[in-house]
Amino acid sequence: MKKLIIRRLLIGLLIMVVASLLSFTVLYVAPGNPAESILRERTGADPSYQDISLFMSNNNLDGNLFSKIAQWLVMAFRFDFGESLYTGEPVMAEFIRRLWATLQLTLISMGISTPLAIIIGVAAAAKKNKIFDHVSRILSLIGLSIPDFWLGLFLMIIFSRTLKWLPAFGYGSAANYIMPIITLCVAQIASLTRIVRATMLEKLSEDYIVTARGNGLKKKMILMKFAFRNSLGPIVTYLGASFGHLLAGAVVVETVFSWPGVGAFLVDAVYSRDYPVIQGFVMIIALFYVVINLVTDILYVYIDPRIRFEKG
Amino acid sequence: MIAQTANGNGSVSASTVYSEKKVSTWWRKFTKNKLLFISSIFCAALVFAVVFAPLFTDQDPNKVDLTKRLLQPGEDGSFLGTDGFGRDLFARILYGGRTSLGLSVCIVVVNAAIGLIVGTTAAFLGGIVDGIIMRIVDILMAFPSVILSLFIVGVFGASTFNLFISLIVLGWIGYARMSRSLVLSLKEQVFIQSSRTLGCSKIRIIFTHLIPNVFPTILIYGAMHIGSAILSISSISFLGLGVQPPTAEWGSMLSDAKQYVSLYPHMVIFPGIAIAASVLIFNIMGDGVREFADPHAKKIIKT
Repeated sequence: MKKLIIRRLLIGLLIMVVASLLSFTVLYVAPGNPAESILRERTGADPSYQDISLFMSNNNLDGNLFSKIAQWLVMAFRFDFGESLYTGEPVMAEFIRRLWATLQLTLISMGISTPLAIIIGVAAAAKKNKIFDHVSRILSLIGLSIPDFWLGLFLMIIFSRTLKWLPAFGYGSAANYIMPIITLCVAQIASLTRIVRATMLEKLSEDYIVTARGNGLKKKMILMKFAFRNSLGPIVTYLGASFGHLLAGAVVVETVFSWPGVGAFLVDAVYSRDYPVIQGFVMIIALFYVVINLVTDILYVYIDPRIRFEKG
Repeated sequence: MIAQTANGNGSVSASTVYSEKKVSTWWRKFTKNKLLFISSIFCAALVFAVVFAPLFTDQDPNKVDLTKRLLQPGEDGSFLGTDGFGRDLFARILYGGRTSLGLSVCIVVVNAAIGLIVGTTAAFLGGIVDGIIMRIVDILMAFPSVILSLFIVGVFGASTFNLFISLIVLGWIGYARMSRSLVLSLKEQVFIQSSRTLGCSKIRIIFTHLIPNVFPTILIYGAMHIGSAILSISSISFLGLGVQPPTAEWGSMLSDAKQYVSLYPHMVIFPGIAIAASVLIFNIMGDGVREFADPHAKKIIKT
């Protein structure tokens, strides 16, 4: 088990280094000059050659490739990505300020959707090919097919425009949370339900279930203690991966609802080609992923004792 | 249908009797699988409507007519209304479907081809090649695809081509992993070993023995992913970073419509229904194809 975790940590470190080099070199070969577009945006006129070179030397955009790579690696390992070319604010400070807004959305949606999806999925698997199973299957397919940005706009049309119950934009009051969270939850519940159902059905068809049935154990006991307990591993793995999906979903949902989170921050940075922000974002997301994968792996070891006793 | 025409001819050779039987059982199995049958009909209708769009509307999807701005559905002879530039919404949805569906099919095909070749080669050659390829896969899998797409589009600029590239950079991984796991078990089978003994070159074994055997499963996997490809394309275009105006695409239409959401909701509702309905059709069809092809395929595809 120790070996497994050390191996995972090394792979995680490798991922971070590659992510950092990738995000750096790709930006280096990118077409166009960010200095020019930012200056044009700020002043509204075509910038002169002197202005551009002054801006570039102020923001360390010139210099040769090796010194830049060295500089970038030092910055990346200190998790200091410099200042936004656009606002002049430090990237990390802005990121941390906005992170809470995004985490609220992701964590609340996860807290709501996980138990719901598990209940629906287990119930559907227990009643395979009954009406409940068919209805939940069709609903989850529909939930998977609705684009999240459209669902957000659609909820806005219904609850803000027609019924006038909820505010369309804004951040802070409880009413602001409802629509973004529903939007994030729908796809999450739909996909998790499918995973839970499929895993449960797979486990229910195994030999030890037949034995348990033959021994005359109660149906509920077989379902929860045998099938569900064994399905936990794949479910936890999926939950770890879906945290990343939720972060990505937050990008779209934050844009729709003008939510002041990191997703909207990234999209703004992409529009204005604010390179330090984009680079920092890629690194931080990679770090999130590495940490989440590590946590999932450790959890998996606790859930499934068979792995604990395996070699490697 | 093929079976009927063969009967009509009267004289049928032995080999066609066999294939006729095969076709008719195949057809029966196909029509018995209701979800697959119905969704295939809808899918055919959708593709027909999109490909032969001029048959259904005489409007030009890109014609700007400021005298007909923001018409409501049904107003002034316009079926689904018009957008902020006076362009006909129904025509834009039909022609936009060409972009959305065409692009998603292209992306799935390219991803499947790359994944098939890379995965098969990695598994067959094994050793260092396999190790390197699988490490690359591990690293690429560390990124959520939307974030990486945004990164690529953000660096290289927003265009349809960059959107295409950004969805391929991560898209092939699933196919590669699957073909690799299939080939690993296939490689030990007798027919591969005997062709090795007969002196077939590695390339010959990969292309004439392994890939044809892996192909059907990859095809099913690909069919299941057309829906999600449509969703990815439209959400990046919705953010304004994919297909650029004036080209009609469902996601970018919604992006234009966003500013009118409180006054002219029809502009938001119809393109969204187009996306949701077509993704649903493709998802149901994907599920159906999987069940139809092989009940045991479920287990393989999940991993």
